Order: sequence, then structure tokens, then C-alpha cells
Amino acid sequence: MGHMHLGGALEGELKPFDSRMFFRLMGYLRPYRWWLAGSLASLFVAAVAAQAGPYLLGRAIDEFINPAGPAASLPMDARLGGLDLYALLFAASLIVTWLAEYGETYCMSWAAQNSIFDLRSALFRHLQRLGLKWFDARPAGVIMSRVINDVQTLDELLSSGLTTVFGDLVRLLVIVTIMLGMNVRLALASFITIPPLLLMVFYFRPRILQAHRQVRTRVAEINANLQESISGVRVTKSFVREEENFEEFSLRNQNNYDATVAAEFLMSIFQPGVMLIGALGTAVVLWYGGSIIMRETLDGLARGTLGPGTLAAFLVYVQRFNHPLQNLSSFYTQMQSAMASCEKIFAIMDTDPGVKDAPGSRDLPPIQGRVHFEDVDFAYEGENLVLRNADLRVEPGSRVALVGHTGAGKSTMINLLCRFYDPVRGRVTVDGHDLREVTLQSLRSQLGIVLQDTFLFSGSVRDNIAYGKLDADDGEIRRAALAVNAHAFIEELPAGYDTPVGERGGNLSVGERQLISFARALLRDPGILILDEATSSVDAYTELLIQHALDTLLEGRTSFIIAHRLSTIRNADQIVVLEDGRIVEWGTHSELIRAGGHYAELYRVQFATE
Amino acid sequence: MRTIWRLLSYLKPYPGWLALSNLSMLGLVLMSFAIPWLTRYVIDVAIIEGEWHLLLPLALGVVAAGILHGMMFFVRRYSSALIGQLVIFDLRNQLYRHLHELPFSFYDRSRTGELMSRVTQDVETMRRFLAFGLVNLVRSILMSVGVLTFLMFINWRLTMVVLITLPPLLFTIRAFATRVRPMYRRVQEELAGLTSVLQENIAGLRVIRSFAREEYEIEKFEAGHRGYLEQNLGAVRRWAFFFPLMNMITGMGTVLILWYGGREVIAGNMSLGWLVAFNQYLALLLGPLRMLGWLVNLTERASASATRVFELLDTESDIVERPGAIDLPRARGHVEFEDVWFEYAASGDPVLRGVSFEARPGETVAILGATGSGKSTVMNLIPRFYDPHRGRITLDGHDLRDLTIESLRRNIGMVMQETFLFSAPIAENVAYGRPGATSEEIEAAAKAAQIHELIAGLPDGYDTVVGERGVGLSGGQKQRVAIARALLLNPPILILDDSTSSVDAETEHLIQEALERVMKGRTSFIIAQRLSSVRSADQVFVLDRGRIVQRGTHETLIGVPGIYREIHQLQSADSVEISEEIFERARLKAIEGMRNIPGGRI
Repeated sequence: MGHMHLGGALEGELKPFDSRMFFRLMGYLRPYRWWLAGSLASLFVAAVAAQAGPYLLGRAIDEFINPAGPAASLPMDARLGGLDLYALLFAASLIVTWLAEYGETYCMSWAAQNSIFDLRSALFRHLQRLGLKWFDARPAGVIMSRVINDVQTLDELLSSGLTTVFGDLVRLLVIVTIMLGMNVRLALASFITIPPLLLMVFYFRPRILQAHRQVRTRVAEINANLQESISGVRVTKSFVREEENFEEFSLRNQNNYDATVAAEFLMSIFQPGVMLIGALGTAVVLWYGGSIIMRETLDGLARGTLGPGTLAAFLVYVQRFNHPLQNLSSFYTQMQSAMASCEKIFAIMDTDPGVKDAPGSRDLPPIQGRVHFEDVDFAYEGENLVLRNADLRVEPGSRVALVGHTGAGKSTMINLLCRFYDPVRGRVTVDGHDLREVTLQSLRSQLGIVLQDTFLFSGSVRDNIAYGKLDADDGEIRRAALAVNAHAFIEELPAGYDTPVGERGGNLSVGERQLISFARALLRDPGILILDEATSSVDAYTELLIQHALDTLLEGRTSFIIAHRLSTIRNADQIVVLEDGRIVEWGTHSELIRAGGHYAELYRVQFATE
Repeated sequence: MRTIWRLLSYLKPYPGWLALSNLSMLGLVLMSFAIPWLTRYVIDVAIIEGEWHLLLPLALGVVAAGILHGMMFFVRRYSSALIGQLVIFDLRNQLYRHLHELPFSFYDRSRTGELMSRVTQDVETMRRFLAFGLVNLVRSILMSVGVLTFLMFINWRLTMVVLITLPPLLFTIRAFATRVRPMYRRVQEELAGLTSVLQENIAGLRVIRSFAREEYEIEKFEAGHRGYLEQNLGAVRRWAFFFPLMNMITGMGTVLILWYGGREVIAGNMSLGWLVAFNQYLALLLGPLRMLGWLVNLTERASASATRVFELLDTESDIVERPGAIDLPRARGHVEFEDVWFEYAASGDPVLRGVSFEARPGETVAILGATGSGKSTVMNLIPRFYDPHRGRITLDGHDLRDLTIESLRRNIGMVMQETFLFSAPIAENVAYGRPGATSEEIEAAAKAAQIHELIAGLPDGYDTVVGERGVGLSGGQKQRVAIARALLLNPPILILDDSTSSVDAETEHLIQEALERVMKGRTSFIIAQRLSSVRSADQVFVLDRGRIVQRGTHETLIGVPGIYREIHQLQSADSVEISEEIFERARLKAIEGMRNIPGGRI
């Protein structure tokens, strides 16, 4: 059963065995314990049945093919009959082995993969609850690697690692027992190959694994370099950097060559080394076994303790130590690697989600649109307040423009209103309800948010618009698209509303993506609309469409806009000017211009030329 | 087959290693016969015939054979691995160079993922074929034929009987290849699907949270996850059925040897030693046969991979340097377009239709137009990323095609629409065009690009690695780094594609200031969406469907009816003040523009 993958052990970190973590992992196997039991039962049957063959072969030779002593006088019929019986038994043992191995592997995989399924699902569910703060601190690649690779490492440990190792131990035990049972002295003599084999295996296997890890790292470096070279080829060409880049690549290529050759060197010694020990085993059995037969024959024993058949069986068994020992030596690394993965996965699952529904929280009734920030302080981390004493009253249906430098606290106010975070002090209320006292679902399902970086999901254009209202019918979707000027271009796409949107909207222009995200928000018909507006690289005509769509979207709703377009700001009912986390001014455009404060200055610098 | 020969031709530079690998392989095959033969001799002669004095020498013979076999094995394995690695080393370098010789038009047609898979997976498959596949293929065939012949000589009847197991074994090997391996491929596909669901989930985090769609996302993930589980269990079930089945069939060979061979021994047609050796020889025969399925598969895959890789290597660049091209040291910056026509190969429509203009040294030229009007194309022709199909472009009076590509591009600094930074320290990114630049020069460039303060404020300053540990730069910040990068070259010609991806007003303002500083004293070409950045240009061209429809300066153009004035109106007015008529025109224009993005459509 060489079904052992070492993918996980070949890369990533290693951690020493930790029984608490191990048992926590084993806890996931609990619901499938009967499958596990089935696998173990089959494993015992398989381990015993698989070793029956050589024994039967030996017995058949010594008793019927080349009988010595009294058996030699058996009639021909009895000899042939005996031979038939043993051959039949041998064949039966092979069939039993086959079926038992099938059962062993299948039952174990069932148990392992189902429990891994549960683990990964639990992990994903937990991720959906974790606060944005947690995600801010980690690159997406790292999170991906937890859910995919680390879980995969555990899958390998459960699916094949554990049973392989357990099965190998049982197999070794059975072999040793049979050998001792057949002939104690020859058995002890042939065990002489075990110490050098152990030495060989335990010296080389970890080094080979290490060397393969090296190779993987080097290959990953080459791939990373290539990826970047291809993505950046236009820059490279325009800066005429081909030669330098080639030098860098060639160096990595050379490193990879060196690492691979080093690993191959180890393998090239290890493999024939193991075979040589096998040859030694053969030599020992032949010589020592032969000597025993010689002595017994010369002593004139009629029927010796050892015949050529048993010798032949020994020749087979002595080669069978090698595989289990090799597996055992790799298992330790696999376990260490699984421990490292376990630690990382459980650390995520033990992370408090941060923002969550308070006990006894109620659903927020349909939003009227009255929003109050009441003396709110907020810090993303520690004491570092990014919003201080924020106090703001917004009446239903009014349009609020948030203005200020990058980092002044505009996004923070919006994050608090969506309850992506909770304030450190003070409170945010909608229609008089403290956001911490209403359920997240009921709050967010009534908000419409259009973000600066328009994100579309892979799927059709229709799916993307319907993301705002999953059960929307065709008419609703079209009306929403029409209202934000998106209908016309969607109709012109190759498959209209069914045109697939590439990854992150790749095959649509910036303007098109923005209009689709407007339709998505409009379809939702939110009580409060939040907009992170960006001036984007669209031409003046597209810009006009977007502006127009925006007006449709904002009509009659309470809206918060991180505004960059002058027209948006000028049309706002209330402009809120933020600086260093404080609200420094508020009022309409003309009021603020007249006041001649921060806003007037900002306006002069940024918009004077427009 | 031709592909395989071409792949094999890469072995030519290493005849010594190749010979060594093959000779040792031959020796290995021969040595494989020794131990079973010695075993047979021990049983038949030393034990049964009682020639006891032969026991020790024969056992030592086994050890000697083991040592020789081991040495052969070492040489065979190491040399073939070395050959594979040497070839792949050469091939990778060749590919890398080739990728950088390919023109922009090639990259317009190709997707990064696809190219990556050619240069990584395909090359790896080829390596495995050269390092393991080839030599084992030869060995398997030699071994099978050799052992079979040998067995026929020992006892052809027993051989025939044992061969009964061959058809079911071959059948199972085939079933394994056709029914088990494809299932694992599907498992991989399911996993890839699951990974992309996850990737999207993380990237779209804010949208998901703000639409309160967590449950929907969980369902989506669960569906993919369950698919993966089921596919996986299905694959395991087949694997668990077929793999031990192969062991069983091989075992049946031994049963047959015992059953029929035993009869032969009893009948006196064969010695007991040969019976035991026969079993060992059978293992030598079946091992390579079982490998054969894998080897054939590997050869097929290697051939397919090689086809793709060679196709890439055979793609030729259409931007080539003329023999004896002039090396232009430092250009003055006099650029002239003379009736330039151009079309991207894929779409038949010309993107530029007879564009002519002249930019004198030190002038700033602004190009305006709707999306798809051909602005970026004009920019791409100046560094000769593409060649015009008609007409010509000159720099200081030289046709671009008469200059060396290197000297041409060294005279041009570019800030492109999609800012690409390398995941290297910021200092290195800024110095990308001049790797030897001092840190003072780098800082000066960053200051001019209005990005110095931001960089200095990062934890590791200029040594901060872009894209690492969450140090992502925003679109506007990246663009300013790119401006610094272009500036450090101190080029006489500057090309700025200012169609910035979403930035806020403040950033735009900063970029604006940076650009104005940078353009002084150089021939600058600038694409701008906003009129504010073209006011100070010496010349303004308005492009519409590949033609220059208006030219002049801001002052002259604002006074005449036309696209320029229209854009100006659109941008300075509030949308609410726009009349129905103008709005309708703008709508049509915008949709037309959206349709015209070259290469941006599936």
C-alpha cells in the first residue's frame, strides 16, 4: 500500500508533535468512527492475508514438490492433490488481500475526507464571520493557503498517513512472527539486515525529503520570477532591462539545477543502497540457510527443520522489510508538517469574530434613514484614535458628502455605519437603534454600498446585478440596469445579460463595471446608500453616464458619499469636512465657501482648475 | 513523433552523459539476471546436490552482484537525472530569452496563466520524460524482451502458462490509465474551482459583507466543496479497486508458477532451483510492464508539452532590428508621425488612419479622445512596441526602424496606463531602468514624483518590498512610483498615459503636480482624460476613430465647435445642467467607445 502522498511534508513548516492538537484533530473523525473501525478491521485482514503467500509457497515446496524424509514416499496423487490445495489457498489469500485492501483504503478515505470536509467547512464558515480587521492584517494568499494547502496536509495525514503507518507496523509484526515461526535461527540471522536498513532509511529519507523541499522552494522561486517577468514584460521592454532580468533568472535557474542535482544524487545513492541491503539479505539467507540444511543433512536427520522451500519463503520475506521501514521514516516528517498546519488552522478557528450579534439583538425595522453618530471614538489598533468625538446628525433623505484628506477618517465613518467595526466609545444609531443592538443581517441587508474598487463576481452580468436581490426577476434586473444607463451596453455584449464576466470583471471596462455595480445597488433598493466615489479613468462621455446614473441612485435616500467629484459635493445637502479624525466643519457648499475655512482651502487647491 | 525527435535533439550537446547513461542501463539489465541465477545455483547444486563447499562462494557472489548492480544503478540514475536537468536548464534559459524577444502584439493575444503553464508545467513534464521516462522506457522494453526470452529457454511451457496473467494485467493497467487517472485530474479541477471560489470570496469580502450575503457565499462554497469531496471519494474508490487488483494479478503469476511449475519439478522436467528463480524473474518482467502504462502516458504528455513549448519558441517577433541599425546616443527629442496607419492584427479595422504630426524638442503634446479612439496606440508606436503598417515615424529625422531598439527605448521614459511594479524593494523599482543609480538619485526622482514622503514613512523606507506583508500601494501611489522610475532615466522623451485607474481627487492633484514638474525640458506626450492636465500643453490633438480631428492649443480649441469644446462643457458643468440632446449624444458616444477597446473583449 504505497498510497502515501507527501505533498504537505515537502513544503511548509514543521512543528513538533502536540498531543492536544492531535486529539482535537482526531475529534473530527468521531462522527465517522464506524468507518474507521471498518478500515482497521480490513487492515488486519489485509496485513495477514498478504503475508500468507510466501509461507504457502515454502510449505508446498517442502511437503509436496521436493519432499524429504517420510513425506518423500507420498503417492503421486497425494502430492499433486496437496500442491493443488496450497495453490488454491495461495490464490484465495490474494483475493482476500485485494478485497481487504479495497475496504481498508475506501473506509479510511470515507472517514478522513468527510471529517476533513467538516473541518474545511467550519473554517470557511468561521472566515465569513471574522471581522474585516482580521482580513486587513493578512494578504489573501496566506488565507487561501490556510483553507486549501494546510487543510490538504491534514487530509493527507488522515487519509493515508495514519493507516499506512499503522498498517506497516502490523505488516512488520506479521512478517517477523511468520519468520520466527518457520525457523528461529534463520529468522534471527536474516534480521541482521534490519539495522543497516534502519540506518540507511533513517539517515537518507529525512535528507532526501529536505532536498526535495529545497527543490520545491527553488522551483517556486523560478515560477515566481517567471510570473513576474511575463506580467511585467511590457515594462521590461520599455526600460530595456532584458539582460539584467535574464541574469537574475539564469541565477535562479542555476540554483534550481544545483538543488535538483543534489536531491538526485541522494536518491541515486539511496535506492541502490537499499537494493544492496536486499542482496545482502539474500546472501545471508542462502548461505546461513544453506549451512543449516547442510549440517542437518550431514547429521543424517531424516527430516530437517529447514527445507529449500522454507528457504525460498525467507528469500521473499527478507525483501519485505524495506517498504514499511521507508514509510515509517517519512511519517515523522508528515506528522510534523500536519502539526504546523493544525496549529495555523485552529488559531483561525479560535479567533474571536469581533463584530457579532449581541445576545438578544433584534431585527432592525425598515430604515427611515435617520443616522446619528453620537460622540464616537474609534481606533483600528490600540490607542491610535482615527476618529475622535465624531458627532453627526443626518435626517432621512439627505445627501451627505464626506470630504477630507486621505486618512482623515472618511472611510472609518462609513465602516462604522456598516458596522464593519464597533466604536471604541460613543454610539452610532439608525432611526434611534444602536447598531450594536440590532442583528448584522437586518442592518446590512438594508444598506447599499458602492465601493471605489468595483468588484464583480465571476458569473453572468445578470448574476452580478441580481447579487443585490437574489430572487429578482428579469424585469426588475432590466429596469435597474436601464435606470443607471447600463442596459444599452449590456444588450450589446456578445450574450447580453448572460455574458460571462471574467475574473473580477476583467473583460469589462472600468466604466461598465461601475455601472453594473450601480445597478446592483439600485436593485437592492437600500434604505441608506453609501458610496465611495472615485474619479476614474473614463472618458468624459462615460463620466457623464456615470454621473447621471448616480443621481438616479441617490434620489430620495439618505446617502453618505466619500466624494471626489465637485458636482457631487456641491449638490450635497450637508458637507462634512474631516481632518485628523475630527469633524471640523459641516454645512452646504455655499455656507462653507463663505466661512472660508478648511473646505474653502481644499476647494481652492483641488478643484480650482476644473 | 517529430516533436519527440526535436526534444531528443536537445540531448546532443551531452553525448558523454548520454552514452554513460545508456551503457550503465545495459549493464543494469544484465546484472538484474545475476542474483536469481545464483539463487537457483545455490538451491540446485549446493543444497540439493550437496556441493556444500559452493555455499559460501555463491553467497559472496550474490553480494558482489549486489554491489555491481548498485553501482550501475547509481550511474544510470544519476546520469539520466543530470541529462534531464542540463537540458531543461538550457531550455528554460532559451525560453526566458525568447519571451523577452516576443513583441507586444504577442502578449496582446496571450494570457499570462497560459504562458506560465507552458514555461512551468510543460517544461517540468519534459524534464521528467528526459530524466526518467526515456531511459526507463528503453529499460522496460529491453528488460521485458530479455527476461521473456530467457524464461522461454528455461521452460517454455511454464512461461506460456504464466503468461495467462498478462492479458488481465495489461487490461488493468489500461483501465488504471483510462479510468483512474482521469478521475484524479477531475479532482484537481474541482480543487482549482474551489480555490477560485475562495479567492473571489476573499477579494470580494467587502461587497459580500456589505450585501450581507455570507450565507449565500457559504452555500456557494459548500456546493463546490461537496463536489470536490464526491469527486475525491469516487476517485479513491476506483483507485482502491484497481491498484490492489494489479497486485493480485501479479501474485497470481506466482500461484501459477507454484501450481504448474511444481508439477514440472515433480515430473522431473525442471529443477527446484529454477522454480524459485523463475518466480524472481517473473518479478523482473512484471515490474517494467506495470511501469509501461505510466511511461506511455508520460511520453504522450511530454510530446504534447513539447509541442506547446516548441510552438512558443517558433513564434517569431515581427519587431526586428535592421542589420546595421544606428545606435542613437542621446536624442534631441524631435518626433514626427508621417501618415501613420495601424491596425492590431486581430481586428481588421484600422485603429489609426493616417495620423501625422510633429513634436519639436521640449514640447508637450497632449492627446485627447474617447475610449478606443487610438490614443494609446499612438503612444505604443513611439518606442516601437508595434510598427506602423503604412507611413513612418521618425526620431530626430531617423526612421524608427533604422535605429537599434535598445538605443531608441533608452531615450524614452514611459508611465503606462496599468502601472506594474515588481515585487522588489521600492528603491529597486525606482531604479529599474538604471540599476546602478545611487540612493541620492533615487530619492531625488521620488521627490520629483511626489512620492518620497510616503516611501520614507514606510517601516522599511526605500527597502520596503512592494506587495509583501500587506504593504500594498494604492493605484495612485503606484503611479507616482512609476513616474519616479521613468524620471530616473532622465529621458529626452517622456510618454505619460495618464488614464489613471481610480484615484481620489487629492491623489490626482498630486500626480498632476508631479507630472508638470517632470515634463519640463523634455518632449512629452501625454494622454489625459481631464482637461485640466492639458491646459498647459504646447499642442493638443483630438483623436476620433483613428484620425486627428482637431489640433491646436487649449485656447484655440475652446473657441471653436467640436469634440474638444464638447468635452470641456461636459466636464465643467454639473450633470443636472446638461440638456437632453447633449446627454443623448454623450450616451451614444460612450457606448461606441466601450465597444472599441482593442483586445478587451472575449
